[in-house]
Amino acid sequence: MQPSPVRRFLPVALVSLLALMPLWYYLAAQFAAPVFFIAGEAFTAVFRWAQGYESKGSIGVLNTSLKVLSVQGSQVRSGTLAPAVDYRLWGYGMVIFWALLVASRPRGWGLKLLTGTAVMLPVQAISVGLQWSHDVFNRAGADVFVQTRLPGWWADVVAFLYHFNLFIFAALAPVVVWLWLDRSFVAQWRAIAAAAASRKPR
Amino acid sequence: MVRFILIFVVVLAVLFRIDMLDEVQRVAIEPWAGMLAVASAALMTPFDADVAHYGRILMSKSTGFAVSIEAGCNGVEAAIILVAGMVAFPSSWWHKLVGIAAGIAAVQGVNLLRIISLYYLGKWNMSVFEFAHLYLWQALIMLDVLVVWMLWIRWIAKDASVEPAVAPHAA
Repeated sequence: MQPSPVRRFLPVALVSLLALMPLWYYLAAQFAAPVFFIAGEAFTAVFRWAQGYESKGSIGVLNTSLKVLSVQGSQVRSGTLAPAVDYRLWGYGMVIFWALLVASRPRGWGLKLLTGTAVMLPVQAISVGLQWSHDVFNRAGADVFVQTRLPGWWADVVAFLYHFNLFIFAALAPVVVWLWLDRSFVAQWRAIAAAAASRKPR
Repeated sequence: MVRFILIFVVVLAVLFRIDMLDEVQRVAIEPWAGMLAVASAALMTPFDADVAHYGRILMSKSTGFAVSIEAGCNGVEAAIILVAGMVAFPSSWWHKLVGIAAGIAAVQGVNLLRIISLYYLGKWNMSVFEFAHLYLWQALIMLDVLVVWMLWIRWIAKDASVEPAVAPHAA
């Protein structure tokens, strides 16, 4: 008798997650580079005050022309805002995707691994972009926000999206990508849904 | 499929918006974090008399090391994803209600394990704590949600006398 697929799926996904997490952690700088490229290019194209971006390892910095003042003792110093983000905070979803794919091993899983990994990069760029946005529009203060010349509701929308991404989307996105790539799972799932829907509700 | 995605996204967004309301945080979420601290301490103290809890903080009496159960560590957001997945999936309301009740219990059970393990990891080594807190447990909780959802679908399948091949095909 074949063991239950769910029973097999859980331990394989768990072991894969534990095994692949350290690997991803040490390769994070390599994955961070394209993510910062996508997010940085998008920011410099959309916002005039975004001057450029740079990355050092897994840390990405957005250079802006937005002026900030800081008071140190009796001295007031001025500078420009340069929010930094650690890719690792937003990149762990890559490991979730890998673990799910290894556990489900759909047909042509090697190609799906590459495709999914490539798809995850722009998804993670959205996370990085939201972190930079939150730092600029909400954390840097009203003096900085005024310089962006955006309406007030913009900051509220960014705050909501940032928290949605932080608490929900960063972890959910790899599951969505995996479901998109593993059609055999979706097919079985739809069959069950159809059967369940055809039953009379209790 | 489109119907599932639409309902899932709407329920997810609505529940998350409710979760983010200041009033809900004050009245429900923060007390819930306090209850998690109480439950964690209750599970730990029979084996470790050094643990104390204050509000939503777990603390070591001897070293002063403490962890605070903050938003994102209380299992509420993971439960929201699970509830959205169950509400959106075509099934009877009986299946949904039982699934939501059992699913939230399962997610919170694993979340207690997360809190307790992070407390001891933090006491032992802060670098390992950071790794487990920021990356590993985030992923494990999502895996927990997914597996609970899959088990719930399998239960529906059994109830509907459908072939119980819910998970991705066996290799």
